[in-house]
Amino acid sequence: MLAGNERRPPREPRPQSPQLTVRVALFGAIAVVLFGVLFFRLWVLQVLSTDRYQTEAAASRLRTVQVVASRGRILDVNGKVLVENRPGDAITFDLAADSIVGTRCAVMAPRQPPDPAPPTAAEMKVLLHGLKGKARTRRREAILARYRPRPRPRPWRGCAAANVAIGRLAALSRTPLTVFEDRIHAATIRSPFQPVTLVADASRPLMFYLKEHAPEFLGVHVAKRNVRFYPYGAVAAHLFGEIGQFTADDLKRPGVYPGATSGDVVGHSGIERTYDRWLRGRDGTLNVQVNAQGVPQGVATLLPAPIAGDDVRLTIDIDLQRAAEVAVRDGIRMARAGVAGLKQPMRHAARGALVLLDARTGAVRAMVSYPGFDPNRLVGHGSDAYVAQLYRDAADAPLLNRAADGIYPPGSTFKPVTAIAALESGVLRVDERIHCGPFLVVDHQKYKNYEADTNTDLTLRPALSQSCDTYFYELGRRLYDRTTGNGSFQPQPLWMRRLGFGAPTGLDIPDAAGVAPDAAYKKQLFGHDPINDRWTSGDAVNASIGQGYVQVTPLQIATLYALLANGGTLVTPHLGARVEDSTGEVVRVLRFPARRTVAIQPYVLDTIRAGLVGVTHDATGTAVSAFAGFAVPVAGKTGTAQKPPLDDFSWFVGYAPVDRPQLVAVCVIEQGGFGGVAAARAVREVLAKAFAVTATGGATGTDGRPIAVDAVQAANAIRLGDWTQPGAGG
Amino acid sequence: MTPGRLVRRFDFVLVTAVAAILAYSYVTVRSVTGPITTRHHITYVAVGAVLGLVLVVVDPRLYRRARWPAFVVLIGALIVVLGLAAARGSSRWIHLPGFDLQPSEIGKVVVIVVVAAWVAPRAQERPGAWSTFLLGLCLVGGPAALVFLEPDLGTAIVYAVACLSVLYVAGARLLQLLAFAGVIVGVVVLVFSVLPATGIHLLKPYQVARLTAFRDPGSSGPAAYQSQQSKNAIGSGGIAGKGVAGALVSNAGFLPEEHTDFIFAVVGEQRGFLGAAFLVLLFAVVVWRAVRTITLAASLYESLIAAGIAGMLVTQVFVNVGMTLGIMPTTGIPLPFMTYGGSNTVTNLLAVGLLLAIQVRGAIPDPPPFAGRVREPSVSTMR
Repeated sequence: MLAGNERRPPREPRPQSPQLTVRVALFGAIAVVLFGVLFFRLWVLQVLSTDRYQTEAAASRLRTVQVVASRGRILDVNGKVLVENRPGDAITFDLAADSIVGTRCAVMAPRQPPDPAPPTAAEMKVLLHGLKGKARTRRREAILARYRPRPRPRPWRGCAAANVAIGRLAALSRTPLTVFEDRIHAATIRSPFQPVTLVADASRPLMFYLKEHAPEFLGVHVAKRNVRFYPYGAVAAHLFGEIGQFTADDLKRPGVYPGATSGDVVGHSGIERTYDRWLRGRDGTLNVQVNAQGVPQGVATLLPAPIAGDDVRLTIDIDLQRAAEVAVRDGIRMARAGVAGLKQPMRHAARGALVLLDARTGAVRAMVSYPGFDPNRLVGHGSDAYVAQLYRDAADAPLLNRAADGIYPPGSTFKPVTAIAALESGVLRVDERIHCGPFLVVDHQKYKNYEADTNTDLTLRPALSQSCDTYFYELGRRLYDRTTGNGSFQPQPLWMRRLGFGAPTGLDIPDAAGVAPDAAYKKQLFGHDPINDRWTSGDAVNASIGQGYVQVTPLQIATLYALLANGGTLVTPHLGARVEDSTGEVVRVLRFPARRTVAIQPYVLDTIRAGLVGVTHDATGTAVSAFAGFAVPVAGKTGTAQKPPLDDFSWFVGYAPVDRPQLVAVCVIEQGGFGGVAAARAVREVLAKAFAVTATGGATGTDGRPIAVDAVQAANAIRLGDWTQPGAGG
Repeated sequence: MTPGRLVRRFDFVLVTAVAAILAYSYVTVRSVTGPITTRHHITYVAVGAVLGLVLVVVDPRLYRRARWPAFVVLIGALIVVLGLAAARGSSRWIHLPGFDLQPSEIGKVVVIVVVAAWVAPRAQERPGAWSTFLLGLCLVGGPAALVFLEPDLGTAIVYAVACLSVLYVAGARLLQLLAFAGVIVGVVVLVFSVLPATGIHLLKPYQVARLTAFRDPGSSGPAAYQSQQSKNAIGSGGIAGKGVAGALVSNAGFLPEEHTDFIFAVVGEQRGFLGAAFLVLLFAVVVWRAVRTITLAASLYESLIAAGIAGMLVTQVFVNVGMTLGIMPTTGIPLPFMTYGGSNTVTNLLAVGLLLAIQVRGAIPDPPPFAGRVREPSVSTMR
């Protein structure tokens, strides 16, 4: 129809034909080669390797779904449930609903060399050499700033931003979107086509909202998941620990989680971690034919079936534990109120710890750290905010288990160590009288007695009962004199270590080592400082009354007094009693052999015990008023530890009954003042509960037998033993 | 142009091959989607066929006048798409009442015509000139860059290859093509290894993952998953295929985009080697007819259009089928005449219409004795 149109533009002349023909031929040849490649590849796939692909096609339709085994419970010694599972509403996101999110979040971070390790304390000393005061602090911070962990690159950041449903869910659950993105990323690395858990335990309003607005949340599903539940709330919360996903970091610690694989939920701390291998159980596998949306088609087989985790029974008695927590709170209240025996109200008393231990076996009956936290709030919705709040409270450190992991100066509760060291090293005789004055001068340095107005000569027994500091200063001086010049023999540190200080106790959850100071410790602490890097008489004198560089955990003090009570056995404190399956059948009895038996001569032990009985029974005993009229004979020791600029720390440790000791109780109340008041009160309270002390004065031992009145007489027999001479005022 | 001549020179081989592919497409799309999608598909094919047939009766030389306005409209549309994408997230479409327009698809034909019209007179005067080669590349560079930013790397590659085909047939020298290839290799090295090392990421992470997944079939991740599922589908089809009902991989929904980008995998599973190879053969026929059109065209301009279309078709077929066979990276390039999608179907049918229009006005096969007019003499250089 346009054939005759004059406005048509003129045609160009044809190009050179031969050249064009060659080019077109080449063009065609390339096309032929490309199509040849396609034909060949089709031939390879469909004719040569069709068997293989038929197998793979069938396999990819078979989905194996991890069926999570229900985690074992944690029980108290009487079988009361302390930790169990409850169904929680997990919110998951199916990546099939938005493949863009899945693809983008799957991006891997570039590999990064590990962060360099910060300088050790000794290296730091060298780096800070010659600096003082503020300049030193500034330089230290500048150096540490260089070793702060670098932020990990997260190239997947923003990968879920385009998805409206995820964005709204983040806003509704008050979770930063980046947290969701991290979870999606981690999930795509684990298994690209399984739903990602975005919220582990959703609140009810959020669940209702999601159900009402389901069409607006494409790919968002709700699934029932087991969540840990703590029926007793905050009681004993420090012991259980947390559970979480088995992470890449966990993989680097072989042996902790035998048989765990990526995606498993394992215990990350506390009892949950120590006994993870029993609690975890074994996940099952559900084999099911599915379509690409994961919708099952046909019959599912459960092979292998999940095996529920075993229960772990603890040595903790939850009733005693609860009583112990009340006791610590009562002790703190007493200290704050400033009752008789305290010089003034201890306004800063707010924190404390208590351990109740079986003196013969090391089984922990109660372990309190105050203040605590509510573990139920750590697993439920809003846990992120709660964790942040707990960490913000740096002074209270509610997550710290003070009883095993808190380190304190032990004060006078440490004096038996000095006494044993002095007697066993031969620098002291039990009947030797040493002057107990208001102060002692050692190497031109004056060391004051806590009791300023004493002026008498004492033997060891009353020196312990009255807690005379200058007596023990003298022992410290004598022990220092026995120290050989090259430090190869240091009786005082040697006995500290023998009696369990300076090393973890072997408790089945983490505990601190503390410090048993010696020449090597000072060398390490002061590096190349030629004046301060040696063990001095001052260090020995301070250590003799549990001050200076001595740092202990309440648990270590408890094991020391258990040793005194049981005649020299350094027990291994433990929380685990046995593992049993869900029917109650015992799977394994957990055994904790004693760390060692310390060879201490019987007369040494007996003298010290007599001194400890005097603490609660002599008229001049430091805790006599606290234990006046108590139905169970208690032997113990007060401690009033100094930690300037803070107020004194209140300690009491005791074992009972005196003649055949069953329990050791130790309590420390931070800034609680004199040990004979707040801490002693708390120990009395918990022992009253433990021995079922009645109003009429009756008491029952842990073995169920009544504690007879003659036990008191037996205690007196020890106290008045004929190989000691009663001290002044005894 | 007389109707008789139109009929005599009508390329029934090409039309038959295209029709056969469309029939394949209909059967396959219907087997994996519902009736509504199938109806949409038929509508697109019908619209494309009518428009293509309209093109047959229009003299391609007319488009030269409209080339600049068309180019400007194309650039404008691509910018609008980018603007909408920035506002709404990733998108390649402009939503119009009744249908969604994908300007980058229609743009394939527009770019080919514009480049051909621009190159033809220059190639005539100074064959193999560097200026023609470079400026020709720059001409396509604009729309290709806009498409790349959408982000649609696959279509940008199609633009580039189509333009290169035009320049090659227009007489580009070997040195020029080698230089271009060198630049491409350089850019790839730059984008994939040099710039990321310095912290600049031009490609989206998912694009890098897709483009590199085919090199490492053992890797996990969505790109490798798609490729593996596609190979499973095709490989399990065997020689004779499993039929529509027996195509488990396709039917269970394991194939992503099974009625669009991965439709060839569905054919492979349903029809087996025989059916899939026959489909590839039909594509080979279409490309053959397109290449043949280059030599038949009455003018260099029309030859170049045919070359561009041939290049476009070969690229699309090879990259798409290669992707489903696991020998090419996963990019969103549709399979011409097979893939469900309006803009793409219409564009390819328009391209066929252009080929037919060029052929019926072609110089060579005008069989005697009924020739109503004398063939225009080819002009020799000795003129």
